[in-house]
Amino acid sequence: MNLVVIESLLAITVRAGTSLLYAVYGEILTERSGILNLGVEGIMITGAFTGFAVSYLTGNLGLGLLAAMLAGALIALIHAFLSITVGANQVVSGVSLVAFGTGLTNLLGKPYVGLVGPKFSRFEIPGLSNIPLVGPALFNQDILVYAALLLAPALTVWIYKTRPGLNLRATGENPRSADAMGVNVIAIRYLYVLVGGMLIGLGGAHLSLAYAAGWQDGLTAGRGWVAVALVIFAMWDPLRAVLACIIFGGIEGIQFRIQATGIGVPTYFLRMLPYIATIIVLWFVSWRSGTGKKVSAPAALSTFYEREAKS
Amino acid sequence: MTTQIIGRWQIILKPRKEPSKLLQLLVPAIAVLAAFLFGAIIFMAAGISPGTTYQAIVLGAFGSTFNLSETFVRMTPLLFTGLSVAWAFRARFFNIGAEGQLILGGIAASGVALFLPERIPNISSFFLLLLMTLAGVLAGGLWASITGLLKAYFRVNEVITTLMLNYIGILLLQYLFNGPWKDPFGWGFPGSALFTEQAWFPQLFGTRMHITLFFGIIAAGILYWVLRNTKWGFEVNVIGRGDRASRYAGINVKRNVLLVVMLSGALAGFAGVGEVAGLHHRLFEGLIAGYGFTATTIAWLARLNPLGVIPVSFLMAALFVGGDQLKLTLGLPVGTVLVFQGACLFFVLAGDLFLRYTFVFRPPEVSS
Repeated sequence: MNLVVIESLLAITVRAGTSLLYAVYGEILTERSGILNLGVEGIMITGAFTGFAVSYLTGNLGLGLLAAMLAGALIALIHAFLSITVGANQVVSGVSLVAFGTGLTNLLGKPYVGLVGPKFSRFEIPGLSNIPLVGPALFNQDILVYAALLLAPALTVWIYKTRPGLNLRATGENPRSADAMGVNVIAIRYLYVLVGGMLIGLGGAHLSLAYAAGWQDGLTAGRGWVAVALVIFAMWDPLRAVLACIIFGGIEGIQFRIQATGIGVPTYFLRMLPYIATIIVLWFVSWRSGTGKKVSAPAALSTFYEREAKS
Repeated sequence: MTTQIIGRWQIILKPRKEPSKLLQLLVPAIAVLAAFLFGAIIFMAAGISPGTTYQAIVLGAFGSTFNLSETFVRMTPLLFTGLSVAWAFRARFFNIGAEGQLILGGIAASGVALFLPERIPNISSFFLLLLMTLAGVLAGGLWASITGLLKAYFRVNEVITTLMLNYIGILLLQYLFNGPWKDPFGWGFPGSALFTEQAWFPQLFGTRMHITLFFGIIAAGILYWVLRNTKWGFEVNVIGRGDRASRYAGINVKRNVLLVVMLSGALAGFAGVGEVAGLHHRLFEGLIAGYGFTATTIAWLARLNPLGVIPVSFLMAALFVGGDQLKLTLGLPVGTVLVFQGACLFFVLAGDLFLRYTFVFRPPEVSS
């Protein structure tokens, strides 16, 4: 296998992993505030469709992105209300989002299937893109990819080095103490569920406006669920998330490569790879945490917080 | 002496001790009604008359003997998967993989149906069907056990694993009926060969209904009895509370979770057996019907009560069958029903608020 092949494989890997990465960022933020949002798949597909539809209708990619983020936030708002204010079971609430989002996009998306809309194009960063091996992968991509990569250090600083980030972490670890120290737990949870929804919607938009370019029913094909698993694999850390998404993007890339070279593995088994990998990854993470290495979820994840009634 | 009013009327949420049986029935019912209203609004926004739509649904589900029988046909797998999910959820095992377990059950039963009669041509129908059922139930149970083991011994989140196994199961199915099990004589669309008549569950009343439905109702009754009257049922409930109580009571949580999960998968597997042996009589794409989410909605609407799953699965089936009419008469796509289901769940979940709390109106403070 020569250099060009490896380089193109890496480039596809990064592209394939970008939509996952946005979703993982979004879910990391949400879960760090203590809310488990399993509706990622529903939010992602809604974002993908909304982004494509608005871009197609207006001819403007930027508007499409905004619409995708808005749609993501709105769907996430339902879950936020049910989880934070009503105290409903977060698993069921999240799953219902998936049903809702999948059905809604199926319903509204029929006229858009197969249409050709505006698409983000790649642009090179001159000079850097000539670096052997990683040049094309990191420096010849579309703008959403660059933004996703830049978000990693940005989110890391936010979460670990700023005051708001501290409040976020406190809310997810011990909401009662955070509340006692004056942190508005409810507001923070709402904020990060909504911001999470925006990022997840953005991830969906990358699929329909860049990677797969176009709309198909069920475009996300379970990526949302993979993202939920990757949050655990990444141990709720944005930098590890990049690594995790690159690995999974790589699996997709390898899939295509094998199919293209016509090795006799039936495509069905190839397509199972990401799903099998997800299970293995989750098992691995749990196994590692069992052997003493701390892999902690935010301690208050998926709990319902209510303030003591003032009487 | 003047009296001053300080503050205003306040609405306080006071936690309820235990919601009454009436309320437990009423709240899901009102939630479904709210979902219908919500649907009506969406229809009106899309320029469709809600009255026509709902009328089409009702007629489609109940309007004729044939339609009614079709509703029962659709109810059968929903009943089993609803029971499967309700049972698992009771032990706090969030099994979203009913679809995959159903498919594995169908695959196993099909495997027996396609290959055993060749080896033993005079096999009795009863025996063949029995073997098919055992195979399917076992397959579904084992498929679920993978996730059960992962959760019990490695604390791996079961929502994701059961879902991943869904996708894997679907791909396995597609591989089989497009590949090694493909009917050599074709039929226009890909699938396995039609089963020999020995492998067909008896059909009823000259319709497509099959006896699996009655097995389901019996199963619901048994599960309800187990929950209320046996030690195991008690243990399942205690585990489902999610607190330390199960450990203090000396319950072997790991073993119980595994058993619950196996049973859950077995029930879904039975649904798959019913679908291939009673309805389709072959293995093809039609086995994939998105029952996973529907089963969750059914289980939650029935408040995880096995007996409650019976009427809820019937109503949900009516919605599907009636919804098919919408496709024919109004051209509305499949997603409509999914949206409605999602909305149903939202309202039921929100309705839980009323079950958890009672609203107390507190008058403003008065001082003199």
